[in-house]
Amino acid sequence: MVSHILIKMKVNKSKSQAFFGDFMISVLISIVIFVIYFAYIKNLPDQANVLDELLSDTQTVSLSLTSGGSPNNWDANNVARIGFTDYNNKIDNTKLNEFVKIDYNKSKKLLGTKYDYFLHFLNESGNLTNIEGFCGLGSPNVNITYEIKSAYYYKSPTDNDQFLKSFMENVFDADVYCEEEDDCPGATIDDLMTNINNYDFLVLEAPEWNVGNQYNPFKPVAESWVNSGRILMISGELVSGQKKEMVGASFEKDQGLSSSQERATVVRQDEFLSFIVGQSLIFDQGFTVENAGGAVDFRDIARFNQSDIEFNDILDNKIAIARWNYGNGKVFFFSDFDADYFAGNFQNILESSIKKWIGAKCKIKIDTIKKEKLVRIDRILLYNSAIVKMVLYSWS
Amino acid sequence: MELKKSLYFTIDSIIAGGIILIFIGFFSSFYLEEQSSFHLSYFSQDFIRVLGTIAVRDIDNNYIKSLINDGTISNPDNTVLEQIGEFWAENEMVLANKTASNVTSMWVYNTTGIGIWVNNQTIYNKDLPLKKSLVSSKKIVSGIKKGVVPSPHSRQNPPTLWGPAIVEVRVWE
Repeated sequence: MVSHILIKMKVNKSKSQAFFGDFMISVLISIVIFVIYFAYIKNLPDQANVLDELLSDTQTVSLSLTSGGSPNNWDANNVARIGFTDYNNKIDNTKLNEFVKIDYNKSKKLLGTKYDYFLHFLNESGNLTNIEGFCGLGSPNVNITYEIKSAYYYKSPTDNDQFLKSFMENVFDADVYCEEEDDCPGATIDDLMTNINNYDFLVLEAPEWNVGNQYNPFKPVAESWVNSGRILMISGELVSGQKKEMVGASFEKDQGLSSSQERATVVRQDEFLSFIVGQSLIFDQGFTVENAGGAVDFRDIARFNQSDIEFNDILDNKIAIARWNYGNGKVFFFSDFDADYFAGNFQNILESSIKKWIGAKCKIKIDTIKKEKLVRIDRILLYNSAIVKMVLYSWS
Repeated sequence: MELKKSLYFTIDSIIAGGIILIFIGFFSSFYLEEQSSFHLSYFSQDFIRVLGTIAVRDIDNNYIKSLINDGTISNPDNTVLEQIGEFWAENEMVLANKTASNVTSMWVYNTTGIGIWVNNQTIYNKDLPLKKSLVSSKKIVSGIKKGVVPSPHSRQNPPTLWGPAIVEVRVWE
């Protein structure tokens, strides 16, 4: 074998020797090491350049975001430059909501960066904070979860009224309950009553409960639960009986269960629900609510038009959307989640309002994304009356 | 018998090569990480803008709320910077110091220094040594001197003003 050929160094006296094979291997290894070394050294300035460029890009993105953007009152359709502050570091909530609507790749172009980015906000304790219902904005590859235990109840898998089901499952990882044991094994109303204290947020979508077996036992459980600071959202027919009270309000049927295409009008601007006053909604089914005396800070947001046309005449009509406080908790009522809004997408507005309303804590995993270089820039901003820190990540 | 006085072993060369590579990786990582700390440049400017915008009545801070509730802060419409300036003008340096620290200290890292000066007089200084860089932003503030001229103020009964004074926020590492 070649590796065992002995080279005899015989110059007068043979005092040292080496194996030719070993010698060749070691020379090869040395060459490989030197090649790697010089390639690496050569790349160092390149890597530094990439980092410099990334830093510069992130700086530009940060400056753009903390500007007012262009044009002055830009929206997702006419934006030329993205910026969501008033130029004095105060977040303009309307512009932030418009920013969220912009497709991620388009936003990169508008921000003038080829790198991926993601931003989130921290409160003064250094914890992630939910701004306008959003835990973070930017790259869809960043894993965002809401830290809230939630549940969703609907009548049955064959029922049409399950408009919020996938949203609740996907966004809040909600446990799903329904009426029949066959449809939801181990997740009926009885199970919900047993487990209710495990949850902080519950959505009841058109449960259509009967009075004796479902509404009567659920009412005291739900009231005690909401009273202790939890959040309840109700839509559609809560209970088959008329004017049944729960959590401080009285619920009733307006036009019946058959599709009635009930027209309503937004009568009040709401900090959570971004509907425009005077705009119209059409609910597939009309159910209504009124303050039964136990609701605190009861706010009507939309009312049914009924036979009226003039805005002022609608103001004392039956309520289609309302929210109120009950004890230490909060309640939101919608006539139906199956609705059309003339000035936007009802489902999108509904979902973003829920995120905003429940104010859930967030969890973000940015360390799981694939990246070579990562840059972070922190900025201090004002959100309403609170100082927040915006953390902007950019990576290659 | 043939002599074997020195041998060249493959494993030795591999170990030697590995050591060289480890050293290269180690020192180059220092070289790259050295460059990633420039976010400071925005902090002083952000603080000047934020504290120069938000009124003390609006800020969500327990210490400032307590000063409003006990009447120490008589004009809740002052911005935070104006309030710090007002305390400085009244020589209430402890109040100025605590106000400044309450609205700034939690926003910077333990390794980052921050301080507020009014007309070059130290109001608050998170006393850390300057190692790398320092960034400063300034704003001119002024206000009404308390209790000198009774309100309501008018052209015939003008208020006495304090300032103008230069408020400076410095951030450093």
